Amino acid sequence: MSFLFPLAGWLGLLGLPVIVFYLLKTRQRRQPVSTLLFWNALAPKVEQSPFWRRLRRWVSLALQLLILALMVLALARPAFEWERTAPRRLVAVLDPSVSMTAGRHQQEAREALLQMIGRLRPQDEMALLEAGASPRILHGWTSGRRSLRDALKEAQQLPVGSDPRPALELARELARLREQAEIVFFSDAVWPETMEKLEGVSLIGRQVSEPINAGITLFAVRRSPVAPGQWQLDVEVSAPHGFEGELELQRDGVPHDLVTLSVEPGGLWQKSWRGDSEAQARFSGLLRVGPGDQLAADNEASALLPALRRLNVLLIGSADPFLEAVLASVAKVAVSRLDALPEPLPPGVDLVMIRGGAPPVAPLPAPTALLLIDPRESGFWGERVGTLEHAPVTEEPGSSRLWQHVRFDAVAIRAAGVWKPAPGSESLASSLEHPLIFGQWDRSPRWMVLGFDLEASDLPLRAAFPVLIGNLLESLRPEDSTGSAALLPGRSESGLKPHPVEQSTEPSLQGGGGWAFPGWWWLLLAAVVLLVLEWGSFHRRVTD
Amino acid sequence: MTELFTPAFLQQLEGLHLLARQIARGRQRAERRSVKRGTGLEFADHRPFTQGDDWRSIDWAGYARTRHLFLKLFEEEEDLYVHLLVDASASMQWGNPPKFDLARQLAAAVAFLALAHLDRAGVAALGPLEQSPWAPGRGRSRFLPLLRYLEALHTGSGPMEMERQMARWLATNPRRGLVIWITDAWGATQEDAFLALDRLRYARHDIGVIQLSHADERRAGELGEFEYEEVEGAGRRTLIVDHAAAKAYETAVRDYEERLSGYCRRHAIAFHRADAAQSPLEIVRHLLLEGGFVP
Repeated sequence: MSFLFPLAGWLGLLGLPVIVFYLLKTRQRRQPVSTLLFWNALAPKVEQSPFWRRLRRWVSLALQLLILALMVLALARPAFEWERTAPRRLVAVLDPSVSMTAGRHQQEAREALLQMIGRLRPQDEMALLEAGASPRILHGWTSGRRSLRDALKEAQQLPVGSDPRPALELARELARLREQAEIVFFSDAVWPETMEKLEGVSLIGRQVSEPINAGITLFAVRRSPVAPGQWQLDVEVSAPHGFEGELELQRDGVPHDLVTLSVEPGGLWQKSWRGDSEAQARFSGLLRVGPGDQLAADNEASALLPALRRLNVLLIGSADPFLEAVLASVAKVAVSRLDALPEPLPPGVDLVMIRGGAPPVAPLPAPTALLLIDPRESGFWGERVGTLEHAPVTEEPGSSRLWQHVRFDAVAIRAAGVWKPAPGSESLASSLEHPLIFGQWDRSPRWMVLGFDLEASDLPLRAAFPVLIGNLLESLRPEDSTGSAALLPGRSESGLKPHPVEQSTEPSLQGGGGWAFPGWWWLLLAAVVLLVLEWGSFHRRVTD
Repeated sequence: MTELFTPAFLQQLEGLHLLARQIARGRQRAERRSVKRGTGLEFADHRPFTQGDDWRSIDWAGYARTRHLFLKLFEEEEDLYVHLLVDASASMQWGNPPKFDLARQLAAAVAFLALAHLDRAGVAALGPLEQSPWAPGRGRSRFLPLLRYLEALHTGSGPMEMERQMARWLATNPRRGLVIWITDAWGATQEDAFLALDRLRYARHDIGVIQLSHADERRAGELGEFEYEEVEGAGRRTLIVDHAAAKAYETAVRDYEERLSGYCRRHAIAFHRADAAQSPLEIVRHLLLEGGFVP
């Protein structure tokens, strides 16, 4: 046995005053009484033997000295042999995926984890992780059971499934910081990704069966990219064990449809609804399941269809009937034309198209986008170094949303400028390495240059022209304005099918055994017990 | 007056006197009379006529019936002697207020009632210290000197042998009458008080006993090891008192007190036990209502 604070041994000198005060205190006190008549009669019964009288004094003194010795020993922080046994280091990873809420799985996992925390010895350590979408360290290495319990309270339940692999990788990183650290994963083994082998991980709480569950696995509504006024709602129901029931669909709280479902075991049920509306609408679905359904999170879903916003386009320069006709054909677009760019720019303008007018000296402030059609001078967009005649489009734009269904291969361009685009801009289409279309459209401030005049090409006569203008306008709408999808557990989580996992270590809930308290704690406890004993004997006046 | 006999105390004695008269009227006749035959009005007995007897007392009607001469005997109405015996042992100084103060106040109150009833009241202090008694006298005028006498009394240290003190007082040949013994009854032994009462009974006195004690005397007090020292100087005893010993002590005191009250009941001795913390007038009021103590 060694001591962590041996200087506390000097406190043992307090035993000297204890002895002195005890000897002073043991002098008999004198008590006057009016008569000894009755005490004389009782004396033979009451009087103690001299041996016991002497002994009880020494017992009391010995008890007091023993109490002092135990308290001094406790303060000296002794390290007993049983405390020197190898400490246990655990990295506990908690699976917060929605499948854990099926049945009592989540509660049992937390109880098991609390039990493990409760069994930690003073020399043991534990780190606590949450295997969410991005792994989160709830508590780093610590021996404090209370702080671990508090950290566990901060663990959050996800409404979806989560891939535990990043969390397990992080747990391995943490485990490398301590010798012989173990990783314990509290999970039902229902994961979106397959993990056949858990290397160096003990899995606790694996789902042993496949509980019956049916749930909505897709509930999404979106507007048509080519006809934004039209929307489509897609619903998918998954039932690994088969399902027969009803799906009630509501639009803004009003019943919209009631569908009777019949899903074969392992099958999927899918259906789409379409409609035409520019206003906002909230769709919600309720799957009417039976009493044996295990997961409640996938029985309801809701998605919002945003309202269609009107786009304001400002044409600067001479009139272009082709361009104006194309803009007028796009829904929810307001077009106005001016000869010159007003200073300042009117509020609410989403796109400024300049054809023949004087371009601005700098990009327009966000969110207004700028499209320059065949600018004659150089500017912030780049330097015009010459003219290119009969320029075929040799490099077409990619397949991004902006260039969807746009083909330039048959477009004939009689004359185009030779441009050196400004640094940071992107060449979107070019002719023999001469940029024809360039700019920055994927970040603010947005601007684009069409390096040739529309009248010097047959682009306005091609189908690519209205599609390009339509894509250009739709790209100005916010990303979330086209539709949304309900946050759902997903097929794997709703299926509640545990993955077969091969473990390299056996799961164990055992901590350090019964000696869950440090040695000094036991010494202090013994001192308190003796103190109570001494107090009791003092109270009974047996050893006073 | 002094702290012992305050003006308020003396004033309240008058009230007690009125109460005593009401109680006496209710009983129609005095409960205590002399047993001597004489010239009173109350017929007592007959006895045969002998030479030298007063012929005026011959029962002529009886002679007519029996042809024998008998004398009619009448109770002699004489003053009642009330002897107040105050325990002046050191144990009577116990407590707050001391039992001895209460004993003297009780003696004063009973003496006042006796004197007001035209009886004779005397006081004697029984204790280790010899103190001259106050001879029985009659009349209210003796009350104030009696108070001064009571004030001058004090307790003495030394062992209190009740039987011996009682024998010494009886040796002074006190006239037979009502003896009221105000004491704590803590004698030298547990028989001492009983032997003292035996002596009074043999002397054919009417007896009343007022036992005074403080509540803390009937309890063992603080637990632990103590050297108990008797205030009468009779000795010391070192004891370890725990809960069992304390309980045994209280049982012994209770048994002794029950034995004393049982003895008094058996021998027609008026007995009253009072807490020494009580007011003396309250105790006297109880004595009047119980009867047997006050003429």
